[in-house]
Amino acid sequence: MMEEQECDLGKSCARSEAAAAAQPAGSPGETPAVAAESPELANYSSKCVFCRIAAHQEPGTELLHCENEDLVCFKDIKPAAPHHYLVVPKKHFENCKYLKKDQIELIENMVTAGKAILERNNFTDFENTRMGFHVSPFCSISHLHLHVLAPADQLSFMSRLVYRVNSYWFITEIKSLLSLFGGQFTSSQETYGKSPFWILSIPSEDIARNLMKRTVCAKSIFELWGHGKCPEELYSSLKNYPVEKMVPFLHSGSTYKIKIHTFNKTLTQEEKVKRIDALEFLPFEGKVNLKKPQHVFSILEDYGLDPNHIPENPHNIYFGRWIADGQRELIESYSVKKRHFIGNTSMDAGLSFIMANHGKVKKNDIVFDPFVGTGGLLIASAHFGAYVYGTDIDYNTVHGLGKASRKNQKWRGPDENIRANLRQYGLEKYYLDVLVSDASKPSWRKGTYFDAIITDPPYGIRESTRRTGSQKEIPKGIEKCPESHVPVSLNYHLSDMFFDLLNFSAETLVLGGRLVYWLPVYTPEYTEEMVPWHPCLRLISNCEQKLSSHTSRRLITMEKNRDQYSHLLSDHFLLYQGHNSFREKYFSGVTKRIAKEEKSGQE
Amino acid sequence: MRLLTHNLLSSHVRGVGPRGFPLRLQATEVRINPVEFNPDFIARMIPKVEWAALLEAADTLHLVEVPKEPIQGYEHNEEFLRKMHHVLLEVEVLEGTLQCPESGRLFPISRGIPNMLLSDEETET
Repeated sequence: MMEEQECDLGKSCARSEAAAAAQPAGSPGETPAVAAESPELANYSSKCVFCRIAAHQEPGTELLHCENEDLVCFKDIKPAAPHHYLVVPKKHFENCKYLKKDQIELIENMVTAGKAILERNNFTDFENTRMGFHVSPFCSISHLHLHVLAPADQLSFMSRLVYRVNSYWFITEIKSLLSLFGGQFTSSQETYGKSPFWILSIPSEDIARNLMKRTVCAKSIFELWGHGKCPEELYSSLKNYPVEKMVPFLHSGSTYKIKIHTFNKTLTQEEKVKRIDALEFLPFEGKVNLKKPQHVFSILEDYGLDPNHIPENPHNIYFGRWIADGQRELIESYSVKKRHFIGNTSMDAGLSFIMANHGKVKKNDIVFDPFVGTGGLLIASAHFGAYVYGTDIDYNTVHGLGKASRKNQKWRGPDENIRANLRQYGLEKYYLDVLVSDASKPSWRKGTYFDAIITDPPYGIRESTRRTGSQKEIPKGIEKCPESHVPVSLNYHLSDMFFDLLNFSAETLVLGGRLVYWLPVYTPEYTEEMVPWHPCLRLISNCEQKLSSHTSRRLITMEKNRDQYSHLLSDHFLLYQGHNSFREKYFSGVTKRIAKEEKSGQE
Repeated sequence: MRLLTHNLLSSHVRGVGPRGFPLRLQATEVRINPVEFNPDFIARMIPKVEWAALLEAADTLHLVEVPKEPIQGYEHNEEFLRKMHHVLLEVEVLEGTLQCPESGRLFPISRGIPNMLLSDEETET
């Protein structure tokens, strides 16, 4: 079940950070003749933000001086380096995959404009500059735009993954010109989402290890030495791998072991040995050590995803040096099945770690969950070294009282509360506090002190959506401190809830802090415009997980990129209104079926 | 409830606004609970602390050795950080009340957990 969920998340994830491996583009060819395009605002589309910027329709974006009248220049809103500019043609060209030879002069002009901008901003070390285009699907906006970054050696870690030289989707100045004339790039783009193996290019082994220390989606990472669609291709690919890169791991003083992983097929011991023996041509000089080798190499064979149709031969074979494993065992060790304190809607362990990773949770952060329930999401954040706060409107859940959610258990025991959950995993020191509080009426003072807000708000199905409100039935003469008495239960409309959540996040998150939450949707009516919006929060990703045939939930990740804002007084920004009756729509399939059955029963 | 938390809480009774901070603390049961010292985390918290509120709360609980203000170079001053660590994280109010300084409304603390719920009439719109 878990695998399916991950495939869905992977497929529909709007953004990812890894790249596919690239081979350097071909050698410089002749420079063909070029016809210049006359500038016209053809293809202007008001839906395209760069068209609007070029037409001075976006007052929020300051246009920098640009000698060339066909181009505009402005700063990137999410700079990845001290200087980060975009050079954009006024005319709407699609992203660089669709460029033709006619556009060479345009590209050259864009590069010249990029250099001019840097000079004008007192940066002249053009060796320490990176310019290029992103290639779909990692291209954010389809209007052609050139990134100009400097100094290149100050690109931050995350950005390096996206902007790496020679990586699949960042084409440098010269290479992008060359690629117009037939240079080849290898990519695993066709296999992405269809295969459990993914080739990507990472600047250093250290970064690869850090990545694996966090991910629960990736099982292992290998330094790829060769691959192919059949053994012969694999062997010739290996023979092409530079020997000087192999030697440090194969020299006579070292110990090693070779393993085989076959995905979706089982091999006999004989078959395995045969495959390992076939690699004899590799310059292994070390000693084999099966118990504690210094280096582990792996042959990986991909037999597809369908357990009912296992092919005779693998689709792909890879060979590489094992670097690190991911954190998949966390899913087991933090499993909800073994947790002391659970509720009806406690988050699956794997998903809670994914949410913490989306939230970029790191050591010494403060993470807050306004709908904390039994604290599952706090556990994942605490595991990554963050200190945690939680609030919930339900007094019993926060105190760990009342009926148990486990099948054979009646009442909750003394060890069942959020703090005890953290204690179970040795994470009690990260427990700051939990409060009984209404998320629509928060009790936090003005200020920005949360590094991340990670939460799973109630959808109104298995836990009701509530907020405090007066009702005539509440008896007069309430005690001064209504302790366990919860004066509650107005229906909390889902759209109000997300409106409040986004506002609260914009107010209390630090700049750069993240909000990660699940948004339930009625799939037949869903459109991207329904994802709640806020002027201070930038949408990072939107990943779908199917719940039923007509409902799903979306993991939304947003990042605070602006401090000042005029308070959102009306919720006309929220097209999510239609989901107020999510509860109705969720059950609509059920009620239809029941009506059908009753009807057929009567006949 | 820890004093770090008290420092971040405010009353949201209708009409009170920023005058709802800080809440007046009253404790009938307090526990000192040792927590592993993490200087980096404490150093991160220092700029976020509202010092007057912290001193007032610490005074109510009769705590001693509470730094009156952040000192120069506090990030590397272990003695200072340890004192702050103790005040912010190791003192827990198990039973007591938080009182809105403007309206007088009381929020109870029981089993270490504050209850901030109000009825509709009492809250801000």
